[in-house]
Amino acid sequence: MARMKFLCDAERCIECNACVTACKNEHEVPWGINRRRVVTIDDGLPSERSISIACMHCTDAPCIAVCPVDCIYQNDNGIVLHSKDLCIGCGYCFYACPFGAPQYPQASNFGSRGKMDKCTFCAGGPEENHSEAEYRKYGRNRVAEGKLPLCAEVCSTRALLAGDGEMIGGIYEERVIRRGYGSGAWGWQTAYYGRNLGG
Amino acid sequence: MKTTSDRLSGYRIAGAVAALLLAILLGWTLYESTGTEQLVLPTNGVLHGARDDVPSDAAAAEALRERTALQAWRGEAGPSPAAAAEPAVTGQAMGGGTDETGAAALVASWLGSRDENWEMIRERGFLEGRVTQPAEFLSVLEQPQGRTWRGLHNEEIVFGGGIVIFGFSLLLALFLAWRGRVPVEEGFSGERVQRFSGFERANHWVTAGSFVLIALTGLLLLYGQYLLKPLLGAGIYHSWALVGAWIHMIFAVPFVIGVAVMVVMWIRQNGPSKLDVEWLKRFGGFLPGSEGHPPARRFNTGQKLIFWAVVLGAIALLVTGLSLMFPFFWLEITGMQLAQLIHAGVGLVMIAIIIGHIYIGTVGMEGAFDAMWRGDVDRNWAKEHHSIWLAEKQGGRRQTH
Amino acid sequence: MLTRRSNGPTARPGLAARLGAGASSDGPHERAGGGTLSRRGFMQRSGLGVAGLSAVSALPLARVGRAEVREGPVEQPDRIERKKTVCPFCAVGCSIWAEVQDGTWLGQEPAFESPVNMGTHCAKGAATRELAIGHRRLKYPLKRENGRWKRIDWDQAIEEIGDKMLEIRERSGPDSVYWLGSAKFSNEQAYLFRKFAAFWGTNNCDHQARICHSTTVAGVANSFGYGAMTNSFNDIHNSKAIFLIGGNPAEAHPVSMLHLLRAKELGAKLIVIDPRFTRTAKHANEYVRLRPGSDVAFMWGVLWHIFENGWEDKEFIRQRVFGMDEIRKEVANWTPDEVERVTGVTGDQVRRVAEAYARNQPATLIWCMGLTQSTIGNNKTRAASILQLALGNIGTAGGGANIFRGHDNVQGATDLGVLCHTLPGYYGVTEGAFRHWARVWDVDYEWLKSRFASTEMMTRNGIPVSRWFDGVLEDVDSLDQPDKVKGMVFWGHAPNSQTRGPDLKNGLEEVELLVVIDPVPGLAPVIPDRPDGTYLLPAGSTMEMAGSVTNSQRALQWREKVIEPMFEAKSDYEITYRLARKLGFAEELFKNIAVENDEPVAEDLTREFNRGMWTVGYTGQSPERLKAHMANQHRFDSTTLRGKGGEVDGEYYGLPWPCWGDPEMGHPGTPILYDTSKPVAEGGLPFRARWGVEHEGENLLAEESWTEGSEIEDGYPEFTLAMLQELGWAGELTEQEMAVIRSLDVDRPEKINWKTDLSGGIQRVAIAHGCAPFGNGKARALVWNFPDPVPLHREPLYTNRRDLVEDYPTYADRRDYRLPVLYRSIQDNDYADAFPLALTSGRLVEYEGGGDETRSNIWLAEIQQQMFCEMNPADAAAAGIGDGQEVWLSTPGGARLRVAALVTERVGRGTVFMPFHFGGYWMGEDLTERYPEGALPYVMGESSNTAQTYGYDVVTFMQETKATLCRVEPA
Repeated sequence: MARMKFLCDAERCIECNACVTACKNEHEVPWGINRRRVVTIDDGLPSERSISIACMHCTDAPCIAVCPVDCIYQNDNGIVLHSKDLCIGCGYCFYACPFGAPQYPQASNFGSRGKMDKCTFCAGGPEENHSEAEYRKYGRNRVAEGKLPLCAEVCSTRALLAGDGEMIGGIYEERVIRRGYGSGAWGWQTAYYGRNLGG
Repeated sequence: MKTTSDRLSGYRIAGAVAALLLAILLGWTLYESTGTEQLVLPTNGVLHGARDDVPSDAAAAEALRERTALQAWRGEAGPSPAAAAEPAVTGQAMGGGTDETGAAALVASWLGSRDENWEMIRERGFLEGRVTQPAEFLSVLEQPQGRTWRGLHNEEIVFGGGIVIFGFSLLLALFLAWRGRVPVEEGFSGERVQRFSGFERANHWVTAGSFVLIALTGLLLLYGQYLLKPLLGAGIYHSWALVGAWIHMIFAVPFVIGVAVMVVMWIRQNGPSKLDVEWLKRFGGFLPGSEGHPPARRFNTGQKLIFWAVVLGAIALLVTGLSLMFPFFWLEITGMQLAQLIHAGVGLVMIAIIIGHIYIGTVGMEGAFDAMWRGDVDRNWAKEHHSIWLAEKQGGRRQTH
Repeated sequence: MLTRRSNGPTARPGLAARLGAGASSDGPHERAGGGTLSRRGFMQRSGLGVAGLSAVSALPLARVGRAEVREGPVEQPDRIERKKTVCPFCAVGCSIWAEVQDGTWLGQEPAFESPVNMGTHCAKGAATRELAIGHRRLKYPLKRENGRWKRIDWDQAIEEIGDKMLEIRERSGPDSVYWLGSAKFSNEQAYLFRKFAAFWGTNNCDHQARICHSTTVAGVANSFGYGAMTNSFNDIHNSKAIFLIGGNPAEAHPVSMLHLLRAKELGAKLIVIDPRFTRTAKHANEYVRLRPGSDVAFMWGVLWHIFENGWEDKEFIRQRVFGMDEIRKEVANWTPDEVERVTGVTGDQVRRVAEAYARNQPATLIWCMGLTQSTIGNNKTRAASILQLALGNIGTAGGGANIFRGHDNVQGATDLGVLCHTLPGYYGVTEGAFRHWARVWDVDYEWLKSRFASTEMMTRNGIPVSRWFDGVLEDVDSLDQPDKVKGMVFWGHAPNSQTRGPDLKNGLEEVELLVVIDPVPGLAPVIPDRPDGTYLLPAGSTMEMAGSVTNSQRALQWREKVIEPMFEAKSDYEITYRLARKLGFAEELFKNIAVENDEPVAEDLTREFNRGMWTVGYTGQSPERLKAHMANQHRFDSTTLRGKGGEVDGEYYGLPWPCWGDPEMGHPGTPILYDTSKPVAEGGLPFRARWGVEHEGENLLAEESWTEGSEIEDGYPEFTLAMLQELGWAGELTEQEMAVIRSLDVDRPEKINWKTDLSGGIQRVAIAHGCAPFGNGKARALVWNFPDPVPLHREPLYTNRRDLVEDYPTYADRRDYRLPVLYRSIQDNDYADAFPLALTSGRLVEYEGGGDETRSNIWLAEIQQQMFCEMNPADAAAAGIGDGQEVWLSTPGGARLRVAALVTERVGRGTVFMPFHFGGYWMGEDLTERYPEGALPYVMGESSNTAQTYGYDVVTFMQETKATLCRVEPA
């Protein structure tokens, strides 16, 4: 069965930040909320690599496991979504998330967090597809239009791949074979092979 | 000398019943804790549990596969597939729904393909780099310990809390069943001795009330999803949790102030002394057959222990709690995870200790409750538990008269 | 109240959802001190910091707005219109689908079918929509009165500006108004703008090409014949080696990396040469760290190995290159030791690079502003061209001199002559050129001449943009024009892209009239302390007008108008029309161009330049053909760019110029310049016979080399009617064509050549016989008409290598472009003690050019919030500077900037790097108060060009920004 995943090919990522602005543009994500970001490791050194990262829509997602109000859920495409109506802004998902995906607006000057916001794989949320409520809370639902997350669709060097895990894994493997090297799919082990699962 | 059991066997029976209940709860907790944590299963819904009327996007999967192919296409050669310009519009509700067995099989299939793409696997590790946005926390690329934190939180803390609270309560209940209520051995004299001023009592109750609210809301956040949500439903439970989270934070203020006032008022009377050694040796004279109670000043060793547990616990909760309320103010992600675990752990132990404190101040000991409620105690009670204090107080009173 | 021109509700997102978008929060109070956004400043801007806890709540997790408030209409799929436009940023030319509902631009989608970008974008392209719908745009015409901005209406603005210009014209002549155009213009607007300047009567008009690739155009055009990228981005797939010098496509042309990395995965060796370990360099197989300014020395060092080992393409050189022996003599001096002394690159590495490059053929050579922005920029671009000529890499798939241009239409604006030294089509500013265009424009030459101060001024190069302020500040006596510049028009041009900040500021303060026509206010009205005499006119963005644009690979793409201009903005076309009407020459200017509701029709403009652009082959690209290409993007091959099937079968995407003849001739465009393996009719070309047939007795025509199918199997000069007659082909001209030719020169029609033949007949007949209209010549390795016929290394004017100044001195002081220009009198001074570090500059991916538009784009601005200077840890430690610390950076020109230090190994020891997109601070001073209300960019900072020093290329007056000196001290 299809299982949606993200894969960032660090050999191709040039830190152009298209994924970041495309996401912001598509979902009108406000200043300070970064559903997706590009992290550069070893900045300025020969080993430098940039990796675009957002919610990886983990298997056995730890955020879902720790949410005290069960506001996060995973659908049968593997996409991890959440309900902003239920979220209480406790921050547990942020502690559990291996990729720093959950983001919080500030709810008050008392330091508390507002409703969690994160990458939806451009699949909206629990509201009715294409409804105004869905758009306002979660952004566009591209998946329901048969489109992939915009970040991957616009990636300038096709470094960021999204879609069926087997297919994007295949695209990546072909590249590795052709160029003869690859530094591995960053985050896949953590995201898709869970705690101690799947070997 | 009359035994307590003769006098108030009702307490002993209640103690035995409570002990039985707590033993069952503890056993249940221990049993639950032996299983491994369940995999997260897809539900296709969240507001009211698993749903099959929510579009699952499963119907979109095929369209998405086509779209994924576009990401490989054209890196190769040749013209574009004409279809690329107009994506299919899909997204119908999926039929059937996901039952738990199906969902478990689905997750199993997701996990099953690891061997097929082992080449793509990088070793997991904590990775931090640079981001251009001025928010340092974004620079952590990967922190696989999040999954470890999830395990510690969902197992060690959740079950550990149950074991500590139920276990300690069970001990108290057993003690009650065995020893009964600690009596005022000489009986009530009818003469009252002022023990706590109005200010001291007010402060105590503010602190205590805050603590109870904080503790209950803390428990609500930790256990509510298992214990209450099934009863209330997601929507109502969410409101409770939201209000609970706010109560938890807001009442931290009076609690901390109350503890601070206690420290100012009582710290000198809670210093250790030689008497404490004696008191501990004789276990405060609570055990049956002990010859009276050991001498004590205003606070005996048991009360001192409560005092210091509260003070140190409050400091720990305050520091960790603030660092959770103000993320990244002084802690990075690892520190925050640790802070959360400490906060929850200390909180749970505090709850157990305070249960003990409440027990001994109410059911566990005759005449004790008056001290904090009315502010004065019976002279005989004072003589038994705070003999030196009483002596000094009476001496003092004589001098003033 | 502001009104957006849309029938539907206000565009999403609404004001409230945006950071400080309300006019009231745009006041000066919202910024904290320093060159950067402080936390507190940020909080205030986000409307968050209210209570005493604001300092605490400015925590990363908390530093956000209201997540759930998204305003505006929600898309309703059945009401969405899809329009295709082309990204307004760099010259890669990515297509974008815009989704418009009831006149409101709701979303953008990737255009997978575009063969250029294949659906991809960089940060800027992906944020394009915000450029149009952003709330920090200039919303209505403004006028500065007593130091305050006053809102006025368009009629008043045009009236007052026009009156003042006419007064200046009356008093000082037409050359005292400077028309600074833009690489953001469509081809149509670029053409119209140059024509407008000619009708006003001056050559004082220019645009960004002067300061980005003018030395490329001059260098390459004088080497090969045309001044443009020879191959295409897609063609890089065929390369086996990529020699990338002075360019950082990962940040400047991110989508080109799609093609570069594809080539790399097919086995190409990527060699990156740059003083800085750029985002591109990290993908290189070989990274070479070069001392800033020593590019010629390095390239000669590489060529030394090529000659030493006999790796050059001897046959290619014999047949198609002139003057390579002179080059050999110079290159012989560049032994590995000398190269290492000058460039700092070890002999081993130079050899390794030479071998990887020469032994992996075909190889492409890519350069950008790292090469061009230099006092010897033309030497550098010619050295690079010669390197490719030596290896026979020009005119082959996978080879080429792939010069990545900067702005979306900088190639088109250059071709269409928004330049002070030429009319559209590189005809120059000679009398012949004016006569040619007067015929195309259908105006009397004598009338046109009367618009100028004199024939002399008409045929004299104007003042280049890099030094426009010298036209204000120099003594009248030392200017080669009647009077100083008194009126200055910035039409889509950022002043912070010009160097010598303090002089620029004086110039901006000195002019009597300052007009800024732009979608955002930019820095021209902000830098100077000018209480009066400044006008701001809101121009529509490129998405708010139709027209064609030419990307770096010479392909023309048609933009649909996505939305009507927002707020009170007007399209460039309309503003030009209104100005011309006020200035009194609208009737002549639009003689053959329809004007609807005061807006000239874009297609008519295209058709008009189609009739005159014979030199560079902008004649075959009719609006209809361009629109057909946009509609059939999916039919083009991703490597060859050749159309398969449909109405575009056999044509090359975007009809890359030269697209010979008229549209009816159906030339497919030229995907690779100088490629002799194809017939001219199918996009083949030899080198252009541009310099005559012989030089000092040596043959300049190709030898034993011709394009496939050529009936002349040898070199031949450019075509004239006389040549056709000699070849016996003149009879093939139609009656109509002959009639046109005869009408062009009644006395001597045989002198009419392929460039001035308005009938296109000469081109048609030449191509029918397999010949290139421009002849079949040799490329020139030796450009005898330039100051350095053989490209030489010369030390930058400001250099800390005094030992090299003696061996590689700069030029003597000179005069050109109406101005004196200094060389030796600057280099003679030793600044190295006071300013020990080399200073270079470059780009950030999120911003473009002066950065005003992009820093006003909320999606982009958030990602780069701070101006910085990059320093090596060793230099930083020596100066006592920590990462992130505020520093003062000062340069010999007297400027000092307050910026944050970014301490990183990315730059080598002794080198400092600054990005050039920031503005809004002036040597430590915050200029917020000078911005009009509601038009403040989200991010501000010091402009690096404020600190950049004197220095101009000897041929084009390109400014030097890549090699100067500076000093950095803790602030």
